[in-house]
Amino acid sequence: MNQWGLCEENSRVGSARRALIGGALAAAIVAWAGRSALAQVTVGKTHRKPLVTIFLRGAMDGLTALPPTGDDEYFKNRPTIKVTNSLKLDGFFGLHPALGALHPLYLEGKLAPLHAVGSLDQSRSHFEAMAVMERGAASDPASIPSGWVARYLSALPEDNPSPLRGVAFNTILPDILRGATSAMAINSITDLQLHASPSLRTAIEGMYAKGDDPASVAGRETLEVLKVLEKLDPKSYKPGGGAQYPESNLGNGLRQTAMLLKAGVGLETACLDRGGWDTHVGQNTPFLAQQLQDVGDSLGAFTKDLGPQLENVTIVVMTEFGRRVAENSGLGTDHGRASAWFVAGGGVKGGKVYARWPGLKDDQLEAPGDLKVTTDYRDVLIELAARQIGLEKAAALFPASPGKRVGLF
Amino acid sequence: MKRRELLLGAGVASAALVGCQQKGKRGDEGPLREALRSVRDPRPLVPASPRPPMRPIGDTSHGLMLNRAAFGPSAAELQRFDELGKDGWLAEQLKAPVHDDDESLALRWRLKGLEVFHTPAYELRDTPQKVVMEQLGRSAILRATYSKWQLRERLCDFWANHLNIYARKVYSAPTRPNTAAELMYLLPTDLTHVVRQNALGSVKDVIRASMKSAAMLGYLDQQVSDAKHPNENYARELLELHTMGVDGGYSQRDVMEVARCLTGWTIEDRFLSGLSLSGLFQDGLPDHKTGEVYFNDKRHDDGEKVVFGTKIPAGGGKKDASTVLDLIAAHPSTARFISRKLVRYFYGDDEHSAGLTEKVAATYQKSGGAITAMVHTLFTASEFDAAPPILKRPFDFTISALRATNALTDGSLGVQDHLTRMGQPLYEWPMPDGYPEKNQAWTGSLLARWNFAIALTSGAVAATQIDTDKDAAGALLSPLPEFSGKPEERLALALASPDFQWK
Repeated sequence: MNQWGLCEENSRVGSARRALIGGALAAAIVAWAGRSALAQVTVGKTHRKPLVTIFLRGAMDGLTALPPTGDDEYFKNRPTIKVTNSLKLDGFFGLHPALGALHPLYLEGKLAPLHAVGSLDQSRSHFEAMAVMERGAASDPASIPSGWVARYLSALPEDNPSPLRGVAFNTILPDILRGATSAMAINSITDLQLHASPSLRTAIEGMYAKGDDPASVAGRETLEVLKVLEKLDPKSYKPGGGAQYPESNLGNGLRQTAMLLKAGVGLETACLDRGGWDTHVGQNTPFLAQQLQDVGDSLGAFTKDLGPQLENVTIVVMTEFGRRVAENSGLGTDHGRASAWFVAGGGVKGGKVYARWPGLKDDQLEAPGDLKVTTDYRDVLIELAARQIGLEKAAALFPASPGKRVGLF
Repeated sequence: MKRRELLLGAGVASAALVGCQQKGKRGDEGPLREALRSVRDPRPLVPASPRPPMRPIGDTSHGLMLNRAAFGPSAAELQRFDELGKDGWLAEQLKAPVHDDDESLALRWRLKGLEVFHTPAYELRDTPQKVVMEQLGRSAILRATYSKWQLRERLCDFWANHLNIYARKVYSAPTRPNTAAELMYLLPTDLTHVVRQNALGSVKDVIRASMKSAAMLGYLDQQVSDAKHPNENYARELLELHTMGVDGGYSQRDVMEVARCLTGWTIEDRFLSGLSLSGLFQDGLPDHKTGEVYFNDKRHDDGEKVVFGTKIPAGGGKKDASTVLDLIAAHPSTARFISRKLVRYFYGDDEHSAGLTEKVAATYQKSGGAITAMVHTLFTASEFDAAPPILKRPFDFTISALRATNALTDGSLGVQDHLTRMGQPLYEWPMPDGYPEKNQAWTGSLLARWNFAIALTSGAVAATQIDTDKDAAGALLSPLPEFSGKPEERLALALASPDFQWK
């Protein structure tokens, strides 16, 4: 089995790579791990621009994260839960104060907030809508069996034999990486240890050295990852620029992402999650602000930590759909349609809000009272992917996308 | 969600993989390429592994049967199998009762201590979540490891995944804003009255019970569905995942009509509100029914419906639901879809699975969906002896390791934490399709499996101990791999081997 998910067509490259894998891979990886802190992967001649996805699961209320303070209807619809102290962006949209750590990034032009983003899926089901966005479908997740990041990894040039090309900070491999080879789901890098005596470990390595069944192949990959990580000593990692990550799953995940990026171990995509956005009730309580604070502080620390290396990294903060425009009787909001997203990093034309604002008047909403989707999420992701693989290949990751230019880069 | 993997859209996506023609042997393909290839080429996929399943005791019929119809061999199971022979063992297993009366005293004693299974939902409200989750997990682990009715426990695993419910989902009260609770509190009732009660019964009975399961209705938003706003979520999954399959021949219109038929079925929700029960009678429902499913005719759409072309006259009331069930259960798509799932679970997936599915589906038609008859057809079919290898899911791997080493365990957090690290925390798969069955979904869990093997054999799993006689503990794993170190490490090596990951 070809463990890098390559076809046999590129036989010349393939056999060269197999030689590398067969003999010198471990040595090669150890060599990268010991190398200076390069942000981009410099295996072969290709300079990679790593992609980080942060999925806010549960449908984040975009009208709270990025309130349209220039639209009177916003205040009418949300008499109790409106945001009145937002930070100024472009005069029409504000930024929730809990996301304050992102405000400097916006002012430096490295953060692009987007509004009225979503998919064609109208089920208002979290499962359905998440599956749609993770697979890169229009509205039917079953139409595509694999995750779009998995396809993205396959479309990249085939000169990176690292077993850590894609990492999900999760207990299982999420849909977004479904079908990817050389991708791993890890809770925490510090958990990635084999608690075996040296002789037992040698014996395990011996047992997995030969077989061509999927378990044996995966076992070899796993052992290679261990060798890389054992050189890193994650506990002693010191973030750059005085960055302080929140002690949260997201903060820890981004901290480890930064560490892997700096170590140059071949990481090309990191997929992170943050749950808890399904605020059917109680948006007048501090809960939602605390959620946003974690996202803002974690992402703020990550960009600070990367320093100049941020130039090569692109980050997207996504959510499956937004929430009803009008607050409900429980001072929360029900499932809606479009929401706000964020794109950050090098190369992005930040410092402006990207939104074809559909308006919030009754006749401007999608029944039963939801913000219309005016930017198809696939058009956003295509521009992110295109930065690395070109527009044509990027568009092919997302079948039949509308192809409206957003202009992020 | 949708399980169909062979739709057209992804063919376009595959165009992104430039330069990749399909010249490689199938065995050389990565999982993504396999997935994409299956889009272009609907021939059944030959598994990437040519490796035969592990034959831990040197006899194919033992190894295969006990790994598939049971959670792997244990010393006691092997003895019984030898006494009865394959056919006799299967016949006995198919007669499993619903009750636990003839289980071992030790198992009954431990199960008795799991109070969430002996307490109605309305009494559980103040039980901490971690206690509920731990007891749910304990029940599954203890029963799979120690039950003498192994095939029944296998089918419980099958149905619990087929009718998956995410224990941590918060469902909201249909009539009281601001009130919500985790489904885990309703799950013990579901596992007892839907899954275990009907594991060896009829398909129609399982589905009927599930349609009246508060946990299922809460999971798929049925409780908020009323005539004014029929919610399609449950109706869709009832057809797509539970019975007919996404290719089952129903339309979006059918989904909407089924949703209308089901309006009014909801969950009594005083349980959620934190209000005291007395004096809050709702629709004449007695207090002790709170947290349960009931039919509220005021919420029901009583107009005429048409489902799969059959007219359901107006005024059917609560009977609409059973009419829908009759139509679904009699539909050939249901026979085929459930049979296909059973074949995937017990046999695996290769070029013979379609033929085997037809045999099992024929039995469904003949027997009125009797699960015992379908399973009997499956295990006695000529195809079964050459079943392709299946990579054990973490739960399967863990239980088979406990059984092979004659381990004593209480199934508590010691084992459960390892399952979480392996990626299969029990009752925590969020999507309604159940934990994945594809081999490729689980190859990322090897490190955690190795660590479990090492912890188990070295006594480092809390409240868990393998046979103190190392020879007895290793008997079922022989021949043990060559290893000159400590004997317990040699056992760990056997459990960590590629062979032991397969069944």
